[in-house]
Amino acid sequence: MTKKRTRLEVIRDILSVIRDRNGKIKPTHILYKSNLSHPMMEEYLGELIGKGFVIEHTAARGKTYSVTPKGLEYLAKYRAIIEFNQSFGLE
Amino acid sequence: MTRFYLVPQWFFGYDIALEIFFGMITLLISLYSFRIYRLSCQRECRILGWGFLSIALGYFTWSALNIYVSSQLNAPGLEIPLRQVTSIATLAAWAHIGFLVAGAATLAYMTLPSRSERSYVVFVTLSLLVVVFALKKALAFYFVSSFLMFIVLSHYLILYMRRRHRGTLLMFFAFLFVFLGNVDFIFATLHPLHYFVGHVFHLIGYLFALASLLSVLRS
Repeated sequence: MTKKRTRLEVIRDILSVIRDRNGKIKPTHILYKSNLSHPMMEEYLGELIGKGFVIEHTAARGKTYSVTPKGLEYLAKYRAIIEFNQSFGLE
Repeated sequence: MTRFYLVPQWFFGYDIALEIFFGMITLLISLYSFRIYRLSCQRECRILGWGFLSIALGYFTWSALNIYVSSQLNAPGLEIPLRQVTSIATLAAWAHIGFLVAGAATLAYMTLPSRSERSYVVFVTLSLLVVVFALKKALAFYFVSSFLMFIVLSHYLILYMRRRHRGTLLMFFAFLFVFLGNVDFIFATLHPLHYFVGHVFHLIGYLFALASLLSVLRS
């Protein structure tokens, strides 16, 4: 059985998916690529928008999302966070 | 006032420098924990940050006390206000004990599965009350802090067995030496050599913690 992803891993996955799509992605793609339920995805996206990691764009065709420089910085720092968690015994 | 240590005369001054050094290392770890908390919003990072900050404040208080007392006693041509020095020393000694026990209890709490704030308050308060109401306060302080450090080092040993991560091993050795230092301080009320040996153990322990932090910063 696959181990349940941690909160940080889910955030990394969502940001990576958006970044890999050259910055703009529809919510259905995020849902599919990040392997989350719809309510969970909504919750995470709301948090990421609130923190300034992701921007929501509203157009006639629907919503799209892009990663902000702060979100890209988070991805770069993700490794440091994981290294810190492992070294200092945090789950 | 309770006798905490018998200090070898030749070591006086070096101990203050070492305690400032320990305070700086624990402060650095605390600040980095808060930085990681800002990025990750993990409660554990915040708990770790508060734990190390409390320990850092414990060391800084003790160093400040030692500097103050030695400056008062060495001041030439001044009548020493002994009662004032004693009361300030008592206050600072209690602050030192409070910060160190609260810090160690916070780190021990971090290793437990419970994340309830009430259980945290109970855990820290009980640890402090044991020292406050003990007849031999210095002994109680060393026993409680050694016991709490033992919980922390067991956590790191279990984690290392599971993950085999180098940083976790460094932190295990860090807490092992801090634990050994705390145990050795139990005997520092009997013989001055233990005060020196306890500091050496702590120095090795905090150097391991610093190495772990540096390996995170380099990654």
